[in-house]
Amino acid sequence: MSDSPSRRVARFVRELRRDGFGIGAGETLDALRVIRANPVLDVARIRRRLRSLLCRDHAEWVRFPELFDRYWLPAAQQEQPLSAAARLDPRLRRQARSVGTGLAGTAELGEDLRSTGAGAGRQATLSRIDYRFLTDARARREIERLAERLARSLRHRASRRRRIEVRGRRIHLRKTLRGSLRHAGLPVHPRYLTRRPQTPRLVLIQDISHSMAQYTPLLTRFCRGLLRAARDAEAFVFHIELHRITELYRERDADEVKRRLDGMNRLWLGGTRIARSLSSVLCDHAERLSPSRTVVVMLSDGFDSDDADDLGDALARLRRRVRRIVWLSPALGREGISAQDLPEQARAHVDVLLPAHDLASLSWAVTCIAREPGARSW
Amino acid sequence: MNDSTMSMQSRLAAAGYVAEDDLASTLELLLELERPLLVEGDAGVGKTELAKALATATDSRLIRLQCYEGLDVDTAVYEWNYPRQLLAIKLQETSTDSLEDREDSIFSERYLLPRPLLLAIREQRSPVLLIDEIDRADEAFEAYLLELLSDFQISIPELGTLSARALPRVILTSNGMRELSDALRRRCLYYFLDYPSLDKELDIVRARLPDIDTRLASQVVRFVQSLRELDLRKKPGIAETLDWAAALMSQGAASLPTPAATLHRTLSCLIKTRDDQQRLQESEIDRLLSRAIAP
Repeated sequence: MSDSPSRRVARFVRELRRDGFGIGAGETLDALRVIRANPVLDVARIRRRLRSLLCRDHAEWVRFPELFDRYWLPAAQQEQPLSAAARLDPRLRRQARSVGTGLAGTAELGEDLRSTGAGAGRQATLSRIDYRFLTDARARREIERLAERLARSLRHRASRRRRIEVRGRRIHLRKTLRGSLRHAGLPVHPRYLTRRPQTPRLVLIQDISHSMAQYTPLLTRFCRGLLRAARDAEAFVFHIELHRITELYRERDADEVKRRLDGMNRLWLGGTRIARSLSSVLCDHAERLSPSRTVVVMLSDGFDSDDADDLGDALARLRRRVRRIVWLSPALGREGISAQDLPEQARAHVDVLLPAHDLASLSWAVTCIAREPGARSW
Repeated sequence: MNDSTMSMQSRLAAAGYVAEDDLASTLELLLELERPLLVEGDAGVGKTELAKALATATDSRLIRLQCYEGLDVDTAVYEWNYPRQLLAIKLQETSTDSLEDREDSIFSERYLLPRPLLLAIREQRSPVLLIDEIDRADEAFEAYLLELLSDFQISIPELGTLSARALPRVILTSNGMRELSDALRRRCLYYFLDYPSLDKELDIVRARLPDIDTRLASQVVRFVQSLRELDLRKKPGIAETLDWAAALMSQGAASLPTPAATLHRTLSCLIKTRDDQQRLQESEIDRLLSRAIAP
C-alpha cells in the first residue's frame, strides 16, 4: 500500500534531520503546504521550493539536490555504501537502509527513532574515533565539517573590543546625554563603555608535509573554521617552505580549498622544515605578530628535517614576539607517543601542547586557544 | 515551467532583473508563506538588486535597513523626538488638560520618529523590507530581529505593542562575514545566489545596457567569466561587469580593445584590490583577452 504525500514528506524531513538539517515543526508544516499546493506532481518545482524552505546555509544548499533525489527518485540513484557511523550503530544502519522510499512509498520503516537521540549518539561515537582510521568517505566528510563548526565556536568564547553597558567604569557620554533627554536632561540612566575580553589575534601555522598527510583534510577544515571565527587571523602552511594562505581559507567552497591546497603541496616528498618555516614567519611576516595579542597555533607532529636546536631557537624567537604558542599534534593521540617525544628544545617554548587526532581533542583545543594565558598544560 | 513561476520571472524581467527558475520559485514561496528570505552569496552577485526588483515587480515600497556594527534600536526601529517633546511640555505648562492627558499626548505616535523596521510594519500596503548585510550587525541586534521576523510586531514600552498593518516581504542579505544564528536562519527561507552563468550574465548585460553592441557584450562577459576562474582576492561581480561594459561603451568600443595594454586602462572597473592588480600580469590579461575574442 503506498503512503500519502504527507507521510512521505514527514519521512523526508526525518531523513534530512538525520543528515544534520535543523528542521523544525514549522518548516515541516510549510513543506506539507507546498506539497498540497502542487496536486500535479511536478518534482522539479517541488525540489526548488523545498530547497529554499528546508535549507539553512550554503552547506545544506549544496547537499540538498542529492538528498532529495536519493529519497524521491531512488531509481536514479545507485545504492550508497553505509557510513562508518552507520556500521557502528545498528539503529543508524536501519535508518540508512530506509532511504529511497519517497515515491516508491511501500517500504516500511522500523521503529520510530527520536532523531535527536540518534544524532547525539552518532556524534558521541564519531568524536572519539581517530581520524586516520576512518575509511568511509561520508564519515570523513562529516567529521571534517564538524571540526570546522567546532573551530568556529571560538567566536562565541572571545568577543569584541568594547560595548555599551548599564554598568561599568567609563561613561559613554554621547549615549548618556542622548538618554537623558527623555528625563529633561537628567542622566537618570547613565551608559558605560566596557572593554570586552580581547580577541586573540590568531596566527595558524599548519604542517602539510608527508607525515601529516593522514590528518591534513581534518586540520585544514579546523584551521579554516578558526580563521573564519577570528577576524584578523592569518594562516600559513609549510612543508619545506612556507606559504601564506589566509585568503584561500576564506574561500567559501571547502572542496575548492582542498583542491588548491593539494596543488600547493606538490613538494611534500621533500621532508619537513619546521625551523626554517618558523624563521620565514619571523622574517617575512613579522608585522602579523604582536606580543600582547597574537596566539600562534602550530599544527604539526614535530617530525622535522632541521636540527632540534634550530627548532628550539626559532621557537624561542617566535615566543618572544607573541603572547602564546599552542601546539596541536595529531601524533599525541597515538599509543606510546607523549609530549616528551617532542624535542626538549622545542617544548621549552611552547605554552600548550595538545593532541589533535579526533573531534574530542579538537574541542578541547578550541577551549585552550580561547583561554587566557596561564600555566602550561602538557 | 509553472505559470506562476513564469509570471514571477517575467515581472522581475520587466523590473530589469534576470532570475532563474529556482529564484523565481523561492520568491513565489516568500509571497505565499509570508516568511522572510535570507539570501547569501558573494558581494556583487545581485542580492540587494533582488529586493529592489521584487519591490518593483510587486509594485510595493522598498524600505531598506543597512546594517553595520553598533546598529541599535534607536537607528533601526524608532526613537522619541525628545526636542519636540520638551517643546510640547513647555507649551503645555499653561494648559488646563489633566496630567494624564498631557502625558498621553507626549507619548503618542506624533512624537515617534519611525526608523526602517517600524516604518515597514506601519505601511498600509505590504512593503519590501530589505535588511542588507545582516552579518555586519551585532548578535544582540540579530536577536532583537527575531521578534519582528516571527510575529511582525514591535514593542514600545511607552506606547504598547504595534503590530503590522500589512505583513512586509522581508529579504535579508548576508555576505558571510560572520555566521548567523540558527534561530534567525530557522525563521527564514534560504537562497544561495551564486555568480551567474555565461548566458545569464549576457542576458543581464543586455537588459541593463540595451544599447550595447552584441559582440562587445559577449566578449565582456566571456572575459569576466574567465577572470572569475582565477585565484583573485575579490572576484568581479555583476555590478563590476556592468560598470566595465559601460566604461567601454563610453569610449565608443564595439569590441574589446587590443592589445592588453589598452585594455588595462579600464580594468580598474573589474580589479578592486592591489593584490589582484599585482597578480594579474599583462601576459595573463593577454591570455584572457584571446579567449574572450576567439570566435
